[in-house]
Amino acid sequence: MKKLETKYTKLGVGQFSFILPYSFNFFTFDHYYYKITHFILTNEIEYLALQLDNTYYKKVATELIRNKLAIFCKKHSVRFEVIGDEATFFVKREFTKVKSNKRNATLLIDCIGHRTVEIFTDISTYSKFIFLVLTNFFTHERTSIKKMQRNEFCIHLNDVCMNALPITVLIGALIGLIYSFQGYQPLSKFGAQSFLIQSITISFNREVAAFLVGIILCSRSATAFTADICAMKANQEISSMEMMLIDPLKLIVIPRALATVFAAPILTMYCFLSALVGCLFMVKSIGFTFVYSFYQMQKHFLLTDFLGSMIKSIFFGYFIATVACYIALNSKCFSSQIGKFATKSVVISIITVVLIDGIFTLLYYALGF
Amino acid sequence: MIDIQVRHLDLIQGDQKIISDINVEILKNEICAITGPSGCGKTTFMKYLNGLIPIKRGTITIKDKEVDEKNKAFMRSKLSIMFQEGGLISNLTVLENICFPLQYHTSLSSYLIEPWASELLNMVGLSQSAHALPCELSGGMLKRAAIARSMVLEPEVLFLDEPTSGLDPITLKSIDNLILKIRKEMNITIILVTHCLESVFRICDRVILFDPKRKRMIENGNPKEIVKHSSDSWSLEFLSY
Repeated sequence: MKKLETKYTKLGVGQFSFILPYSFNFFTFDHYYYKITHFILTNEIEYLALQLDNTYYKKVATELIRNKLAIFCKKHSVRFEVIGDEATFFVKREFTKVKSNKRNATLLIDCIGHRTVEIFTDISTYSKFIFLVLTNFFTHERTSIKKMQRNEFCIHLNDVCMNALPITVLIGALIGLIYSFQGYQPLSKFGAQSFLIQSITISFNREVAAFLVGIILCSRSATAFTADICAMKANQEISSMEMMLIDPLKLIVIPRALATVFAAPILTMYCFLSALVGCLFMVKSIGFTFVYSFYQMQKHFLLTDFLGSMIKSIFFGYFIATVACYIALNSKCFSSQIGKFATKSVVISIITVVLIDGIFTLLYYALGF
Repeated sequence: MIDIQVRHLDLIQGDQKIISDINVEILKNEICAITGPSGCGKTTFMKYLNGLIPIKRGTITIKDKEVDEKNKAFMRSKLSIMFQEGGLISNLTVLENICFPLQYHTSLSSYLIEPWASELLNMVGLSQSAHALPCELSGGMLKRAAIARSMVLEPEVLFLDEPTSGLDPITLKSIDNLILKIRKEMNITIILVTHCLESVFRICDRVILFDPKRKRMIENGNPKEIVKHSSDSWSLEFLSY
């Protein structure tokens, strides 16, 4: 790279002037500013003059370096001046920040207020949406629409259930294994290791399996649904459907919601079974026989717990699918924003799963399950 | 016979009035172009005509029925839009895309629908690509497929949003010829939203020109007549590009 030089002229003791060269512009701005300020700091300077004699100067860049140097010199008690034939050529421009009319506190309150209203409006429209989907589940449709819905349902069931089965089984088995390994150590301290199988059977049957499947569905299917529908929106597919009097709710939301509702309990069951298998291998390694483990599992497996878990997972499935579809359908979507909406969908569906789980826990507690 | 009548319509986007006091009458079987500089409200006007944006001031009458929420279903059955992006469903083939609205709205079997869909594909010159997915088509083919899909429910008024944007001159000419062919064979009114003045002069009977600076409709008439007789320098300059 060509070396950039700055010309200094000594005017007297501690008094210097410098001339900006032809190569000065915004690309070399920082270089020259650093050179000059370094020169001021390393030499004991009392007076500095910026000499402007040429007409080739970049106007705004020169003006900015002049202002910046003036501030720097004031800070270091150096007298600063602009001299030369072109000194008066640069009219001082007002580089002021655009100030907001509102004070920050008001702005913050405003933001909180707007966001709160937005959240409540969203909740209200989402509530309407879930009931609309629910009523559409039971609406009688023409054979042609039913056929289309059936085809879509099969495609989505394959995607949500069959394709998610390997990962669900793997995660279930690993969590079962880890859970039993982690539980063994504290229980063995009190000589209560015989309760390990019992605790795993009950916890997975009641809670963990359904919750794990909920999280898997959120991260796998909810994102897929949102991204898919957002892409359709960006492609104007939804708009053209509406123009042809085709209800997107019937062909896009209902098959997806039904597929997730069907898939969730199936996946929960597989997750539970694989967790027990993982647990079996773990407890075998610490000395329990398979027969004893099976006996313990069978003894502590309660059908009411299992049914409760299945019902919970059906609700998880329904809410995950509707949240994902709602977010995508209510977005003003460009293809560049698909990722943003997919993230939003995952976050909100996970929160929904946790909330529903809490509600079911309270409900089961009240019912004495 | 008047097909579309617009009276004292204001185009409003957000809180801003883009164009005020539009008065237009579009005749049956006419090809009408809506044109003007970018951001002048062409697509917004098309959305108003379709009832996609509620009217705040003025009236629009299509086929003797006023465009409002009450007549929405009637309007949808009479009008059809080809969107700028095409709007073809990406996981269906071209033929399936064309059959799709018919399968949804009727209980006709596919062996009855497919000949009609194939006829449309023949008309737009896409019979070779019937089983291709939209992503496998070129820009011009995608526009043709979208036009065929918008024709399948036999609309009486067809709206085409930028049908020639991003196309080479030969494909552009073929799309123009296709539009003329559609008008001739199906006897419908066609409204184009376009920037392409070449197409406007080649195929359109009427042109509506908006000026965003003056916020009003500057020209409404035959494009060749406008160029001959208009006294407005801005519109002459715009149309003579």
